[in-house]
Amino acid sequence: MQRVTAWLNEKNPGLDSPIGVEEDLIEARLIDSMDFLEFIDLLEEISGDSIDLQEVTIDDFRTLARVRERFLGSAVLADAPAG
Amino acid sequence: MNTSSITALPGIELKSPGAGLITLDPVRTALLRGLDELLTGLAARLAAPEVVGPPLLSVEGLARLDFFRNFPHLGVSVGRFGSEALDGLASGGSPQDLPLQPTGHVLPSATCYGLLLSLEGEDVGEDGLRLSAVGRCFRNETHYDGLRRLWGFHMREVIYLGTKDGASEHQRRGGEYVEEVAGRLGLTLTRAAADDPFYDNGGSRARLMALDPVKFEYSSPDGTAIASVNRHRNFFGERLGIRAGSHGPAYSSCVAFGMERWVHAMILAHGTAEQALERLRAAGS
Amino acid sequence: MTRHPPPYLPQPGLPSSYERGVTASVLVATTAEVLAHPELDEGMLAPWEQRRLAHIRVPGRRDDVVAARLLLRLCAARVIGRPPQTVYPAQRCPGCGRDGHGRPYLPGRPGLGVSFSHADGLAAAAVGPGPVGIDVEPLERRPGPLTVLRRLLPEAEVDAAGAEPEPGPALLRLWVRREALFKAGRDDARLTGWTDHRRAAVVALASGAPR
Repeated sequence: MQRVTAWLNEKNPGLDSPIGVEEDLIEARLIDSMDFLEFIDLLEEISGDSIDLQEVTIDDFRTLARVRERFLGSAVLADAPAG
Repeated sequence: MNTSSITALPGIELKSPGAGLITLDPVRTALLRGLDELLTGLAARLAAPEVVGPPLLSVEGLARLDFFRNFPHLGVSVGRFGSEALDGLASGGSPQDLPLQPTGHVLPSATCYGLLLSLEGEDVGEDGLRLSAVGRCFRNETHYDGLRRLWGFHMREVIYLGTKDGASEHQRRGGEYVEEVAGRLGLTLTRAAADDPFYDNGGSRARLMALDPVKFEYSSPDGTAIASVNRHRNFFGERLGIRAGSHGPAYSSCVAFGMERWVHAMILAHGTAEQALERLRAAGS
Repeated sequence: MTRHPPPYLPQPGLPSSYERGVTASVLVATTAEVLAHPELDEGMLAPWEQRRLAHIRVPGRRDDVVAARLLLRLCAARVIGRPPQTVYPAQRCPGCGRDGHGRPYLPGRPGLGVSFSHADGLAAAAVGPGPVGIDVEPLERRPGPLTVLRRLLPEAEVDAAGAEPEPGPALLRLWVRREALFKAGRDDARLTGWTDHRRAAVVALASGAPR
């Protein structure tokens, strides 16, 4: 999860506060459609699983909580929670 | 305006030499001259002195204005027969297929080019400069159509060089004048910002509009653009080293009228050339 | 299918007559240009738009979204022939059917398609007599990684772009074209793509067949 947060912060330098776990990443314009390509690649790398692009929807990426639940369920959750 | 009777030449047709080249009969000539006089009122209003531009333009000068890069098809080139051809011609040989030598000049495609080029290196001062002129212009077109689209036509222009605000104001006042005169002449014109068209392979068109349009056209109901008001930013000022005093490279703008197109618009609106001329006389009084 | 618009040259005198039968009217601008435009003001945005803007975390991006929404108003205003402050675009999601997000439209003008796009410092808008989609991206942006792109877009198209002498720009052009099609909501729309060098932007427009 920490890698995801780090990646988001890299994409959005100078945020005045940490990204909330339930914060809508798309409405916040933290990522756009082109960023999804990298996002998917990152999540696949972290989780070790490939993501079936036919099965996912935009809502699966909407918040950090949703991302963690949907894609990183098997990843080690030792990082401090974001937000 | 001379109100002596102007009638068509009885039983005589004035022929034109080819497509896009029209010889005007007396009534249409009276319309052309009368409309030019009326539209020159703009120059009087703006205190723009009347000048006469040069009949030909140098290729070198136009090239410096990116003319050929942007309108490679438009320019009608001036050529002459080479000395070796002259003897043959003098003894009755056909000029038709003889090669022409370039002269380094082209016919003007707009009146303002000649005026702008003549001001190269000048300082028009803090208050700027206006000029008015009518000239014969020529444009190669893919097709010609009556008075609407000619190979050679008359274009009257009132140009301004000076400050950015001055150029915008000139454009605005020019537009107001067009609308005013159109009203007096009973012409219904639509005003539109001119856009860049895109064409895709299917022939359908999209248009890319400018956020801050530099050019507006006034068109008659059949879509003929009869006048335009154009801002050039400081393109000509920079390219030709024309300064506006302490303001640096001059901004410029121009108001342009296609005179034959005004004749066309009048005939379209009023039915016949004679009726159009009546209306013109009434408006002028 | 890439067309380049004519470079800026002051066009003196008279042009050819006004063209009819256009499939879409387009505006492309930098965010700064839009925000400085005398006819446009953020105050024109509706409360629901303002609420959505409040969620945006990065001020620059917020400006981009404001600019795109205003540019859409200006574009529609010019097509309709009314002032921009009288134009009220709405949005409806084709997926969930709810308002406030998704494909933009003009209430009361079902025949007119509208679309807008924003990117880093850029905004674009399109209006047409049928479904339209527009996408703008900075010239230097690159879609990647290729492995994911090939799963999202038709493989053959991605490979073709990747095989070009300059794959980066080709892939970007491919991306914006697909985005424009997606936003128009139809695969058979006509595509027009171009590069705005002055604004360092790549644009694609998807528009319908002419009447």
